[in-house]
Amino acid sequence: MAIAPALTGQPVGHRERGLLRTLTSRANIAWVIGSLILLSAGAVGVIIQVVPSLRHLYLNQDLEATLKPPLSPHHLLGTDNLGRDLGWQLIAGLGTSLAIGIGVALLSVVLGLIVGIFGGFFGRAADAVANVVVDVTWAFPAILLAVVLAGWIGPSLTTVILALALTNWAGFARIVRGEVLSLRERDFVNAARVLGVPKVLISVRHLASNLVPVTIVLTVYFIATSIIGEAGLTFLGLGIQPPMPSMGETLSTGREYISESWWPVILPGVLLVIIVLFLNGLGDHLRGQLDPRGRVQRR
Amino acid sequence: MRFALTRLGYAIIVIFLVSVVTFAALHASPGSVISSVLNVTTTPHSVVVAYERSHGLLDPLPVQYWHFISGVLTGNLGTSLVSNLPVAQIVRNSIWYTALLAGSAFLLTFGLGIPLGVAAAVTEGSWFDRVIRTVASFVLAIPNFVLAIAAVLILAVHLHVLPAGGAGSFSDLIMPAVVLAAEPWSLTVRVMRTSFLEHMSADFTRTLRARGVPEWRVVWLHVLRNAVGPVISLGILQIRNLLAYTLLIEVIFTWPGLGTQLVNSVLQRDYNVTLVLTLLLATVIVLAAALGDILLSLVDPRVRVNGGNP
Repeated sequence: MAIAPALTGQPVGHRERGLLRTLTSRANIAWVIGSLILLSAGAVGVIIQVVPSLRHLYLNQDLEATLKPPLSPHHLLGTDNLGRDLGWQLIAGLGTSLAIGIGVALLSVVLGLIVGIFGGFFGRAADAVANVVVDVTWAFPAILLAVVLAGWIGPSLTTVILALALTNWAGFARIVRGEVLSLRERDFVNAARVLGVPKVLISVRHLASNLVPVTIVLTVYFIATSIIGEAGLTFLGLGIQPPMPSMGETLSTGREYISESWWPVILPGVLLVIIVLFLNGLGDHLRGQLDPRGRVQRR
Repeated sequence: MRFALTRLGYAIIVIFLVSVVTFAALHASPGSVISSVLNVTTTPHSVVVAYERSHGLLDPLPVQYWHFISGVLTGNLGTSLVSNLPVAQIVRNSIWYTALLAGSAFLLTFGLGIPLGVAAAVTEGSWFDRVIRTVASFVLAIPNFVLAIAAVLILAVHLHVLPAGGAGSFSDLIMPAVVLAAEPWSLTVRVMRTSFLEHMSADFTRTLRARGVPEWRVVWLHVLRNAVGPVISLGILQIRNLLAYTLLIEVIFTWPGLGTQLVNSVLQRDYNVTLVLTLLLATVIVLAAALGDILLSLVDPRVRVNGGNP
């Protein structure tokens, strides 16, 4: 059945350009290269953890070369308290942190979309239920949720992912609900309802698809906050446990030797700040391109 | 008034659900309460059962929850499984430290944030404005525990000007309070500056000027009063973040507040303490959000229409 594009809510193709051309345009190219560098460093970090024959890179201890400063022979960024190479530690840790960040972001975005659309589009009772669930979740900041989860299942990778995803999720559901409240009054949604399209199908085809720009922007911010969150929780002992490398793990090990050497704690700290700055900048840049009305607020 | 009562009633329902969820999660854990007290594998089974019976751990969960919540409402918070101290005493011992730290950070945030934001707005485009804005965005990019570590490294380890931790004297408070205030401070400066600039060019400001009201009255009376609104809503939102970050900062600076207590109790599997402290903090957050909505509804009647859900 032929419906005018304006009625289906599909983006009208007045700005359609090739994806490749958009990515390599002058405004975007620096961000694309930066993202590729970050993602490949993260991928290397995951690969050296997964492939057994590569684990020696960051796990090999050298008790005769502990706490060597950066630029030492064989160790460009120095070594930690067990003589492990700090550079490889950071790359492996970056892999873990980035994987957590992406996992948490996807999880919170999916949950937020489902609950937000459910609350905004499926009637008053659904809205009341969704609001209570969101408000109960909101009472727990990530640290508090991690405390409860660590009490429940013990501190672990799962604790970190769940604690962060469950806290982000509630905030995102609120944004989605607000957007849905205005989207559901639009002509293309009313048209679909008059035509008898089931609500679930409308949610996916017309509501979720129109929330894609907002979602992409928030995903990037969520990756940044999750990387900070992982480091914070692990720092408290509620997150990743020692043999597994992560940014927070490197930081908290480094802090124990803070009076002897600065690099095991400053290097992961600086790396963390650079990554967060980059991701926040990327989010702002994407928001400028995808969300000109500024509906999404950082934090 | 009606809005305030509905909002508070709703907050109480949310707090009740929060307590159910927390209680269920902590008591349904695989390494249950008992294993934090006794070594289950070596203790005779009869002793384990006797302990469970005497502490009511064999009752169905709803019954256990009822015992717990009626105890809380009558002022009996139970005893710590690790130290055997009453939980109420543990809370009393640490709550003032947290209040002092969070309160100082709150004062620093707004005491320094609002004037500096206004000053930056008044001198828009000057070197002062640029310095303030640069510092604010720089501080915003650094996670506060990284800032804390850097501060310890520079000020305590290398320069020896401030202590690295503890809570014995005033100088112990300076570093944690400043680190804790850094992020909300930079947000306050930004919001205050933007809001002030917006109101400086608003219609009512132009009318006041046209009527010959002196410039200092326009700026310090009318613009400031109107521009401070967004900062108040930001402040209410920040209470939640401030509490969450207090927990983290306390641990880093070994500040003996609720956060240090809470993290220790989790790591020692001291369920009774964990439960009470978690509920206490969650309750403060829910109540702060409710009070914030009520405050805003007094200032801005539009809030009342959609029940505080923007």
